[in-house]
Amino acid sequence: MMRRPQHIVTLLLTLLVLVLVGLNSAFYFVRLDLTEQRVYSISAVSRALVREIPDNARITFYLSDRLRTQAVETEQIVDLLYEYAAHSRGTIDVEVVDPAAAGVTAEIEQLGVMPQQIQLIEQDQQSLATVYTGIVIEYLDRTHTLPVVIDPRVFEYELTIALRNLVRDHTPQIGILLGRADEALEREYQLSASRLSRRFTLRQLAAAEPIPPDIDALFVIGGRDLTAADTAMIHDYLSRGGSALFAVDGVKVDLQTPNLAAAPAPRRPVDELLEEYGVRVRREIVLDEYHRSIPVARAGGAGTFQSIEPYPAWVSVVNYNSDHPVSARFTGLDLYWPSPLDLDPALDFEILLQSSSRAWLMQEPLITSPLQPAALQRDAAETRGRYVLAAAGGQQNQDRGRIVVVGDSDFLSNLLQYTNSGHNVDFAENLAAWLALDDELLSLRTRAARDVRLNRIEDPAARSRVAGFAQLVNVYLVPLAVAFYGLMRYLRRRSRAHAKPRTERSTTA
Amino acid sequence: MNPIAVIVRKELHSYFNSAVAYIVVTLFLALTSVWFFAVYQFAARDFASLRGYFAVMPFLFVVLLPAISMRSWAEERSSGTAELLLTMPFSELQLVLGKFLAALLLVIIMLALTVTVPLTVVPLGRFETGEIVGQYVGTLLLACVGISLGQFVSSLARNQISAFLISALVLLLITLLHVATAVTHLPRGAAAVINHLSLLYHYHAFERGLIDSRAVVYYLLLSVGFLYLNAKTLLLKKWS
Amino acid sequence: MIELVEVHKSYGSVKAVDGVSFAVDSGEIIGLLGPNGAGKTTILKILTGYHFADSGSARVARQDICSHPLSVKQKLGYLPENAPLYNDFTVAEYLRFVAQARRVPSDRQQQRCAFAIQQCGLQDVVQRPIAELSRGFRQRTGLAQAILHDPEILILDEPTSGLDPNQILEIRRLIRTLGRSKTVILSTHIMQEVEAVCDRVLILNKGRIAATGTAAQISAEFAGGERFAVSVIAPAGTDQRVFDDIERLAGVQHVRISRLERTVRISAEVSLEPPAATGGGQDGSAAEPDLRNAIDYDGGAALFDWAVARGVRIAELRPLRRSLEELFVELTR
Repeated sequence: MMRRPQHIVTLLLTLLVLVLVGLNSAFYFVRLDLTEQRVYSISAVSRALVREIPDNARITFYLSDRLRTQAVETEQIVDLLYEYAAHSRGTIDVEVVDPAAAGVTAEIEQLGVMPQQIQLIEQDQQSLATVYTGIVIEYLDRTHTLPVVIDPRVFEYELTIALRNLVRDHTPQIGILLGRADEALEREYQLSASRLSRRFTLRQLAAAEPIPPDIDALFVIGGRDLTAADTAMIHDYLSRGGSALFAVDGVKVDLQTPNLAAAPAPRRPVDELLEEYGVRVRREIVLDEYHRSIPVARAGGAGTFQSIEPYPAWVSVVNYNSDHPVSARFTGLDLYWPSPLDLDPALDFEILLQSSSRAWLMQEPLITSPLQPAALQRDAAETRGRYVLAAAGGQQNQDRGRIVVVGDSDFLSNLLQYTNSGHNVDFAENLAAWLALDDELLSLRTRAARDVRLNRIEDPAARSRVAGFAQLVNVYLVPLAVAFYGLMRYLRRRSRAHAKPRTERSTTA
Repeated sequence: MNPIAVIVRKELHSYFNSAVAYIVVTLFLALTSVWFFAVYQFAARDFASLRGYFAVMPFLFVVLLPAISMRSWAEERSSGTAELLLTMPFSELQLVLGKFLAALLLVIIMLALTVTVPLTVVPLGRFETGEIVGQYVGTLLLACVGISLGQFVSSLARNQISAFLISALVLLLITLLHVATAVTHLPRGAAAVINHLSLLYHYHAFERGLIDSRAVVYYLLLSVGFLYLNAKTLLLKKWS
Repeated sequence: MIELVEVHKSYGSVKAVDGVSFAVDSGEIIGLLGPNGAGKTTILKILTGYHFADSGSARVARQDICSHPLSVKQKLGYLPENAPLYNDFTVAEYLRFVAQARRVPSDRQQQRCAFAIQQCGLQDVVQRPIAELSRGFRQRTGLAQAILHDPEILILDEPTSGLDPNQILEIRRLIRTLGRSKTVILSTHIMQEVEAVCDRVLILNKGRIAATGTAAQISAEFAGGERFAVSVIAPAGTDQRVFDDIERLAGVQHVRISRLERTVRISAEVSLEPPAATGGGQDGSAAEPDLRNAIDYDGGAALFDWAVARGVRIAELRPLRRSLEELFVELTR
């Protein structure tokens, strides 16, 4: 027989066991992600990657305590980091360090971790604090730094790519063939090239040379000076399974002239090549109601002055194909004097980007001066409609690699600084990943996209009717029904108790 | 019939023949919906998620769960029926589990009545089914903690009112423990421990459709712990 | 059937039960008699497993209550001091719950409920919510609950409290009937209840057993026999020595002699020794004839015989009954 002291001892021991189980659960845990897109889990790509890491990698998350206690998102990033460590079976060491407490702020800034300013409300005092949230990955003798990580949704993409490039010591190579002999990657394309080179190795190819077989994707930008021999080599490369982006337009705009004189391009070998694949680049310009502005130098009384003019020929793309991996996670794209594409319906091209339905064309003669808005609208009435701006093909065609055609050769040029179009480079990254057959990496990037808006019902009246109905049912009907049922039950019970005092009935409890 | 089932039936009979259950359920349904549709302005937010709806539940639970559990033992003691239950052929654990399951069943019924919310808003947007499942699972587990805590307090308290007040206070405290780490500057370790002990901190994972074993284990450990404590207290009181 | 050995139980610093040992045979009806706070209720709570003893052993049907609580509880029917009722149930619902809880087989539940309802006279209130019942009906519902599952042992804490005289008689009759087949332990503070119902009585005081035996044995053994207030008319010159002749005279007190013309009136309180009770007593296996002798002995008749033999006339003869409280004062002095 157990006496009281024994019971107290077992009670305390059991509580101790429960606490120990609780402690253990804090260190060994699994997370079951119920979201369709597995927003909170690391994907198969990342898991496969960390499993194959041959040597020990060390990931240090420099995260300021003040930020960590305030921003729940950082905790998610920490969780994701530990998930990497858990799947690595011991090859990845994860450490979370408060830089201020560890006294390493100077060192990590040296490594590229960027200090951030945040507003803090602590004990009713508002203050500005410098915080860090950067990651340093060390592998063998190599290191890679993610300067700022704050968004758990893109974190996996960034970390997995960084880890992959670091571990394989190989970054995918993009061969870039500039169609204009007078251009250079580090000059006219300096902005986008510097960003692309974070994830890819860029190799500018010289015309008239064979395409090296070890590149993962080819970007053909412009086509003015490409000879028939060049296009034959491109065709040859594609036939061997290579993939290419063609950024080609049918109109050339002379940036040196003050009124941006434009002329239709002559028929070039690159046009013939594309037509062979089923794409025709028209000698016209698409203008759109969704557009960017252009800085213009005007001649005034005393001299010139700068103004910003709306410019329909710089199209802001709003229609994208959300089913295609390249454009699924579309963040925006600005095209400069784009040409419409005609697709051969018999071939397997898919539309990637289109203008809005409020777009129109500029046909010959081409007048593109931003100072002549009326001229820009000249053909608007007759040509209003939706035009194809980019297309992708080659997914079904086994004997040829993938092809993307964009009707603009300028979208990666330094023009993007005028429109602040960083998202053009994001689009190019997606293109490069898709062309390099890196679908898994692409899927990393696209997984967080879910349309979270309440837009299933388009008609606003119908929509507000449904919302009103939901409100009526849930705020009034259901609670009232419960209260009514309770009241009815009470009344029925009372009447039964008094109505038949002498009947002996078996009532179920 | 299984002894636990006998207790469950008796408890449910008590719940549904007293006003408390109806008041609690009605209040819960009305307040959550008023919050979601009128205060949080679900339709205007243009966000296809029930996070806002479930976010308010832990706060309502702080008041409503103790209202459900306050009677369980305090009432039995004050009316003398505890003496009946404890001298019937039930083990202490059976009594505790029976009462717990009955209250949990009431909460399940209460949550089942909220499915009209997802059902009526689903035509408006693309809602994540997994997220809603996670939200229900988390809410149910949270209710387990609240009920087992409330019933344990009820078996210690002198009367219903003090049972209600004490369990509401304790529940509020462990629900919002992590707030302490946000308003004060605590060392990293202490903040982590305090966050881990906070119910709401773990609830956020469920709210987003994530079932984290840490959250599940913590909620279950608390529930099991309180149930076990309750059963042991009933036994130890025999020597008092 | 029931066996308590050296049971101690304290609530904080208050010793409720202080070394109580007794045994009850099956089929016996035992009364626990004592003033409030004597430990009656505590002993019943220990027997039902509601409380555990601090030390000593309490066994029911040879099973220790602490180590086999479930099988012991199965054999018991218990009516606590305040009937344990759920106010939001009707009587029928309540009894139904008790039947399930007491594990009455489902095919017999109906019949047992009907039996308990009939035995306790609850027919008229079956469908009424318990909250609306009068004190008497509540007590009877509590009793119905205790007998519902036909337990081997019935433990009743003040079963007749709060009832009117007719109901008390009914309940006593019911207990007697049930007692033919069951072991019954009841507590009370009413002497007559013990005399009317119980085979044997335990008198408790301050947590100890002060006396045990049949009602008659106890009053004979511990009350110091019978006392009478006697006034006799005797010839002048007689004094208190006239009482010396009384058979079994134990003592004479408060003598007052008042002189009349030719006679004197002598008033006194006379105590008579009880006849020796042979057999009986603790083990309960009473020797029939002696016990009957002891019961048949009548102090009043003996005094009358004495007066006739002595030639004095009895002017007043009044038995002096002592209250329970007096008895306890004496027992615990």
